[in-house]
Amino acid sequence: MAVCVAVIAKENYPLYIRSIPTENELKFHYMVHTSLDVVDEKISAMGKALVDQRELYLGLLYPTEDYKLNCWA
Amino acid sequence: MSPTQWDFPVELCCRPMAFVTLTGLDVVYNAVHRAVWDAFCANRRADRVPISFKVLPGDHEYPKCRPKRTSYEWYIPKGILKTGWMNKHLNLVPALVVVFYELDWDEPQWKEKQSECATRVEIVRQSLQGRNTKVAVVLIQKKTPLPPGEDVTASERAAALCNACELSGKSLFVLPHTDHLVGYIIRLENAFYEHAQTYYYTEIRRVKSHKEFLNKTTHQLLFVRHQFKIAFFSELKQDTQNALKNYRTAYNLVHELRAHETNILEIKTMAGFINYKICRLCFQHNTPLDAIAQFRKHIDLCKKKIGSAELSFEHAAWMSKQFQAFGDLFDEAIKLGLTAIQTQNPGFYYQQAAYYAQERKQLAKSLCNHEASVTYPNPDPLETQTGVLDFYGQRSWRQGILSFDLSDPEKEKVGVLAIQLKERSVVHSEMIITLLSNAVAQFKKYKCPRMKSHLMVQMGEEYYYAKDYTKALKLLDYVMCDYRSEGWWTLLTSILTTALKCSYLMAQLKDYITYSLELLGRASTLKDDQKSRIEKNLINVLMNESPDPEPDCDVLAVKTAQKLWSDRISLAGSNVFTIGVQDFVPFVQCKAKFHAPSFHVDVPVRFDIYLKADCPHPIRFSKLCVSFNNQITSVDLVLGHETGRCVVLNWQGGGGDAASSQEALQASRSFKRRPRLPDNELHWDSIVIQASTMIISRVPNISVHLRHDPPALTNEMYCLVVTVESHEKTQIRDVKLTAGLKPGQDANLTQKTHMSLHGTELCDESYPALLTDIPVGDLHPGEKLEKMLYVRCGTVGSRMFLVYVSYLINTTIEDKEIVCKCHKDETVTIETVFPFDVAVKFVSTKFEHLERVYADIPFLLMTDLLSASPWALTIVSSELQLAPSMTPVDQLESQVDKVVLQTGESASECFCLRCPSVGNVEGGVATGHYIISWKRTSAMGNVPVISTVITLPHVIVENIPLHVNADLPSFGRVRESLPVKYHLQNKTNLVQDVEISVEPSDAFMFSGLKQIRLRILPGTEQEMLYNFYPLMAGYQQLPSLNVNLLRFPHFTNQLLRRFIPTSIFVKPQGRLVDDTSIAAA
Repeated sequence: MAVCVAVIAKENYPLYIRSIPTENELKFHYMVHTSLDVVDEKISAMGKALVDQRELYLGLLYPTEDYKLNCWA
Repeated sequence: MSPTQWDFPVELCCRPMAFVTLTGLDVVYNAVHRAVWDAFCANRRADRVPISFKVLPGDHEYPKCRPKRTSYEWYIPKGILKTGWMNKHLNLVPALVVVFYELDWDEPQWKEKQSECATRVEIVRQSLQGRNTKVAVVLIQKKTPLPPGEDVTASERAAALCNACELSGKSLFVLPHTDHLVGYIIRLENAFYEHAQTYYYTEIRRVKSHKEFLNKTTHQLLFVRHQFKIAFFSELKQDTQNALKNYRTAYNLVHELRAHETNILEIKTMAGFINYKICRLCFQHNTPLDAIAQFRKHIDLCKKKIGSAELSFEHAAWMSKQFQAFGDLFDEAIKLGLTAIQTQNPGFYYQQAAYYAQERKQLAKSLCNHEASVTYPNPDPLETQTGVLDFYGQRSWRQGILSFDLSDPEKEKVGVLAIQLKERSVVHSEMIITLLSNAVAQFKKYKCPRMKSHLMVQMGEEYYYAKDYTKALKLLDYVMCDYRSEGWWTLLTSILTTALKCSYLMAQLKDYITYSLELLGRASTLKDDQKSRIEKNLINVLMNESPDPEPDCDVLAVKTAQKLWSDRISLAGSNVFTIGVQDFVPFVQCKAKFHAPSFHVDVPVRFDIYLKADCPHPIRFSKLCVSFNNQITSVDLVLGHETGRCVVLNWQGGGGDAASSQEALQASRSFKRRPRLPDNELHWDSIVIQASTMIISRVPNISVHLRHDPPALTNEMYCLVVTVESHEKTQIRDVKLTAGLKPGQDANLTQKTHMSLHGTELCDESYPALLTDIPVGDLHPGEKLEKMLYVRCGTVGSRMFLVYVSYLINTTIEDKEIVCKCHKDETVTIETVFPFDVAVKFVSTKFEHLERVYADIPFLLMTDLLSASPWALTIVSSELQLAPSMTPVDQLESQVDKVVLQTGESASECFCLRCPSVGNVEGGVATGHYIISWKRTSAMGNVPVISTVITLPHVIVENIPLHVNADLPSFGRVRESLPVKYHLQNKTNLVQDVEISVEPSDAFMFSGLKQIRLRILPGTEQEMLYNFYPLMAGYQQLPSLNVNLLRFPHFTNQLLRRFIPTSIFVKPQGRLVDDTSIAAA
């Protein structure tokens, strides 16, 4: 089940973050923020190819103990 | 840190090596023995066999071997693995005992020595009774042994000794104490290693042999134990593949055990150990993915096995340890060359370890909050007789009890209490911080700045809980800017809240104020009631009072802080804090804006400072200062008074803080329409900071006109008339004119443009391209002045000219008289063209076009001058300056003096020249220059004449062997004799054979030599005389003269025709009678 949805601007600030109210909101904010490390790295590694191929799904960013983070660029 | 309950035992974490004991060595008093021992111990690098050696006395008592069990039927194991077992096989029970003994083959008292040696071996055997440990004997000998087979005594005695000691020949070694000690030792230890491997092999077989006696109901624990032992012995045997296989089996078996609250700790402990071994071996085998997969499986299987709820902090501690140990293994593998990646590095495991450590702390806090009256139970239920547990993971108060029912609930309660009370003394924060800082180091390495920041926040928070507020604040302050710069306001607010608590508890005034300012600001996501509280505190602080404590702070710490705050009040000292806002997001926003991007000097400069307070309650500022130089350099806003405390908020430039640029970006992307506001109100977002303005000079009130006749002609003194008229209301002073080539154009133009104020003389290279600041005096209102400027352009093309008039005027602004400097400029583009085109051509005396001229033979130079000027030109004179190689045939006087040329008209001249023989010159011979002196017809008499010099083209000169010219009248008359004389000149140094013939023409009869062959001497000339008799009137073809030079076959008649006429005009026959009659008439 999706527990948190976030939309991030290309300057890496959050445009929208909503998580299920039963959980600690701050935890998800940190999780989304730290996952940007991986997004940055993936995007810089793929660079132009990403834009050219319109391959927007960056895949599973990384598994944390309890959650899985997926990202679309 | 001393090892805690949760740390893995060293014997689990070390690399198991074959254990070999050396006896009979006196390493303290015997130098030879010492040397032998050193050779075993020193330099044990990877290329040596993995053995752990120990020197023991010959009569050392080894651990007793329990009598062999004949049946397992009634045996019920009390636990999985004894705590002493691993250590026993690593350090106590050897695979091989080596007896060192000094004995040479030629020992005179051989018998006695042999029997002493046998006794020593026997003593060792006694001690090892029941074990499979091997025994070997090493004879230390003084003499180098002979090659095998040569020393008969040696072989006999060796056999005898083996016999006496009941040794196989393979277990007797000789160690000559000579130069090559290390070499011998290495050979010895290799032999020992083989023996040790055999021993461990036997041990594995022995353990395996138990299996058949086991049953699945009562011996479940033994399945795990045996499998673990097999794996461990395999490791000792250095068979890591089989070790891994057996550990994996053991791991699966441990999870097959029936788990209950009473044994879950034992199961988890053993699962943790085995998992550790498996992961370690996987990394060692360079299969890190297997290690990770195993670890994940391990965690998934175990994380829900919490056990007793009252001791759930133990589970968290255990989980933390699992992650930490895996992180350590991972990190160690990386140090040995493994490559990790951003998403899979030890940092994640340390982070998770820290997470469980935090959980442990939380659980401990809630489970171990016993009242002070609760005392630690006596006798201590955690004490055991031996001081250690018998089996790993069991409870000390019910060791070896396998029942799932608690036989003694009271005892259980006391035990739990003891554990809980012990947990209270654990410094959790210290552990958490260590793990976090391990994780930080990893994430730094694997390019995860945000993860690093997040962990640093956690470290800061942990320091806060540990009451180390200085360190907490340092860490939080360090990472704050990362969250601020990326605009994660929720996270920033959370960090600021902790930082505010720290600064409160330390009574750090400036930090307290700064964090308060930001928590009140728009970047803060705090609720209004929180903001109100902070604002109230801030106002208190500014009034030199103590703030209220922050919520949820430690009570004792608050007490200390209150004391500190009251000390601060009584302390005199600097109470003014200047805080630069560009690095954070305060609750006041500032925007400075000039009303216009530029202002004229004589107009007051107006600007607005907009301030916006984001705090919930109104706030009073005491002062606003704006600093300028050419722009607004800073805005200072003062909160509070010098009497209390005073905060100066300082904006560099025209405002804006750490969030402004991002907000601007967001606003630019937003599609939101702003609601309409009343006219006197503004949207804050629509105010754009304008911190600088341009101060420009007063608007001039004069007119500048230019009058001239374009285009300019090359090199002429082109006249520009500048008219300046003042429309000012008062007199203008110090009027100055700057005129000339506008700067910033092609640099070559500057070299070829010259300005002068005087048109009567030509200006040369020394004149400037721009005349600057020519004073033209003062002008009264309405007065007009005219100035003539002359420009000489040396090249064609267009140029921009600038006329710049500056003046001073006194004006009154806001009752103050000031002198303003005004200026006005005009630019004009002027085209420069050649006044005329000059065409030059060479023709023969017959006016035929010549490609080349012939040496010594006259030719004509024709010049054609076509006016290209739109204005009439007067050719004052022209002159032909011949090059030395050219000579005039007649006078060279100008034929175009005083000629006036209108546009498109042309004037031609013709000069007869001759070029002496010059030999063959590449590129031709220079002709000379043609100089035309001219001026505009309209120009005044005093305007100088311009001389335009045309360089005439080079001409190719060719020598010819024979020149022929003809003397003949200009016309003939029908039936009247027409004498023609041909002159044939030999132009060579040779005697020429010439064939001459004349071809008849229909129009003529002729007399003379029709065909002849003759010789002409060098440099001489031959005349041929003919009498032609014209028969018809009109333009008639003459009989043609053909010349054939035998030496010069290329001399053609065609060439000849260039020199001599081929036709002549023949007039009709005259009538004498008629002539007279006309005369008479």
